[in-house]
Amino acid sequence: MTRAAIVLDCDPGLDDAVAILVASRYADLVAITTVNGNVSLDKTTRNALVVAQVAGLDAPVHAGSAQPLVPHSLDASHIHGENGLGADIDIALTRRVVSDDAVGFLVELVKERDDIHLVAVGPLTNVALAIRRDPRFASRLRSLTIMGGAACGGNVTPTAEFNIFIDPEAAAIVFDCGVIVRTIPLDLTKHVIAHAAHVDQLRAADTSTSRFVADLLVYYGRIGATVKVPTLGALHDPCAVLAVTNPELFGLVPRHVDIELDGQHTRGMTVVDARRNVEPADQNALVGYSVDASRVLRMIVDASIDPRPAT
Amino acid sequence: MNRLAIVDHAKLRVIDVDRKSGTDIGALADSRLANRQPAWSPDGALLAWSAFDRRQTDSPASLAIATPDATWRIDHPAVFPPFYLAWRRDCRAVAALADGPLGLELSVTDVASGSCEIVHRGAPLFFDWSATGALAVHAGTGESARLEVHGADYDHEAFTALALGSFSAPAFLPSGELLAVVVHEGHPVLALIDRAATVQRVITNAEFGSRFAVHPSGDWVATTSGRSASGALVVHHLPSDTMSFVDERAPALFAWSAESIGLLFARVLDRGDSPVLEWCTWHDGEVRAHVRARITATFAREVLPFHEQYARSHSWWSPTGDAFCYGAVDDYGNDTIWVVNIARPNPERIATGSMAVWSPR
Repeated sequence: MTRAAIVLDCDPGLDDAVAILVASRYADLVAITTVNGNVSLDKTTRNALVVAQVAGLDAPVHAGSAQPLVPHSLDASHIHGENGLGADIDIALTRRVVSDDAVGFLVELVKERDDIHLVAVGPLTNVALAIRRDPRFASRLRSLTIMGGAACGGNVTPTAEFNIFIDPEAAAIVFDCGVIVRTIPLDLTKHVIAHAAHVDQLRAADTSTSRFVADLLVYYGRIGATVKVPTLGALHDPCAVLAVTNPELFGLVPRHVDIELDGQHTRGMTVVDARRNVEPADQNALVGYSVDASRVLRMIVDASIDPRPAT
Repeated sequence: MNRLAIVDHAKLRVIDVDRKSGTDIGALADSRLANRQPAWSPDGALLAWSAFDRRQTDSPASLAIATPDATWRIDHPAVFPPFYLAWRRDCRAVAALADGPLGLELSVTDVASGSCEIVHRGAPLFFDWSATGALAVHAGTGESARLEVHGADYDHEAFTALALGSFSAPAFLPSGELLAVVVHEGHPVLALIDRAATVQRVITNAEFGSRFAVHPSGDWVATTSGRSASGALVVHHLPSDTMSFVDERAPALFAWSAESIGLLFARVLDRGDSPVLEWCTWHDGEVRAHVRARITATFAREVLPFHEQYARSHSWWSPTGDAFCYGAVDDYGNDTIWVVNIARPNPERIATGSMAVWSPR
């Protein structure tokens, strides 16, 4: 079976790091592009390189946008740690970025190849700027999948999910780009929860990547405990990768999605129109509502133990 | 004349601000067709823009040029729709950034004949025209970043050999000297460079990058230290070698008026809910905050990340320097173009639209 050719646009970030491993195992990971988000761009880029090095991945890393379209300095270092990967990572980095022009890389890649699935699991700044540079960028993709948004309540505000909230202007551009955006929202990913047993599995496997991910999850859980979440945390970003490689694990429904750009309480909200009278022509997203969480978690653990392509 | 070129969804409209009358010059029936990136010729006689079908990968695109009253129009075919346009000062050619079959291209199209010359390929290709038609191009990224000046009066090879600091759009002064971020004596600095590519004067350090805009007179330079929001906005007066502090935080955008010594800048006010831009002006050392408004997504995408480049070619200021325009979302959620007369308290709603550019004359 041909594996999906994926470019992962990410802001590592704890669950982004796991998403990289998942993409490596179950897809043809063509490249990793980084964006400002969970932490600053220099840190997300370094973290992508760290993960690639630990896992021995060949995928090139391209650094992208250092700021959202409307600049601000919000991040999620309170969740992901000051460096974005939780506890201090003592790794002598030998990998280097291939370029600091992720947007240019994306635009050129999809002109050369018609089989690219873009999976964006961070703020959508790079994607919006690629659409700016080539208005047909999105239509050249085989598919566009994001981890972002929430149909029923956010995680950074009562209504907004982090990735959308950080750069809602970019998200609005992406949802208006003329292609169907496969959307994996919080409503779905909050069911994909790592538990202590998963850490035990990873520790028992004792590979370089399983130890690495176990440490990330423990940090994630420690932080989660401080904010009164009684688990090790939801693995949001790997779900977006698996929605491409294993769509049978997800229940997706056609919807129209708008991004709220204003509102004292609602900026960054993904407004999902679930009314039955929405014309198919007006639907711009496939929104995920259900997931086979146990199978997804099993696949995530397997990828964390051995990120080499599954045979 | 006080005319605005306004992008309103797929349409492009020219509005006479005084008479409140408008002309659709890019009107297209099909909503999938788009017109964007209007750029006035320096004499205000022509408008160029990018026209394309945003959802079809194989449909034609064009560099469209028309008179503001839409009585004359010419379309020069383009393989990929340009995403930034800048007129040569003599109004006879338009430089365009667009993707090409081999990557990002900077091309120059002759208005009359439509002949198109590709000047450069690669990235990032930030550039500026000199008064005499030389083109300064920031080419390459990372360690291959270089400044190339294409023009008879310039030492092309010497410029290419200059080591560039972090990204910035270069800017010509009327004298023909160039402002750019270069590595000088081991440190990145914003410097004035002569035609032989010799650093004549260091304006400020650029250890953390720099953004800058030059007043058309060449006497004033606005800079921010660093490329993040944490750097201050400062104005340098080159003849007196003095510096004025304008704002403690780097704005999202800043641009000079051509007619007055006025600097327009937009602060990002992030109050934890919906960040808004506060549009301010600086005149004679005095900062005035005029209006707060939520920016349109189009302006945020098209202009904000590259505002220094737009400062080289587009004007948000009226030709007389007594007003400026901006796009913002109104109370009903509609993208709207507003004009602020800096002597009056309230902005004036002009038309629907996401982005406007003021005619230079």
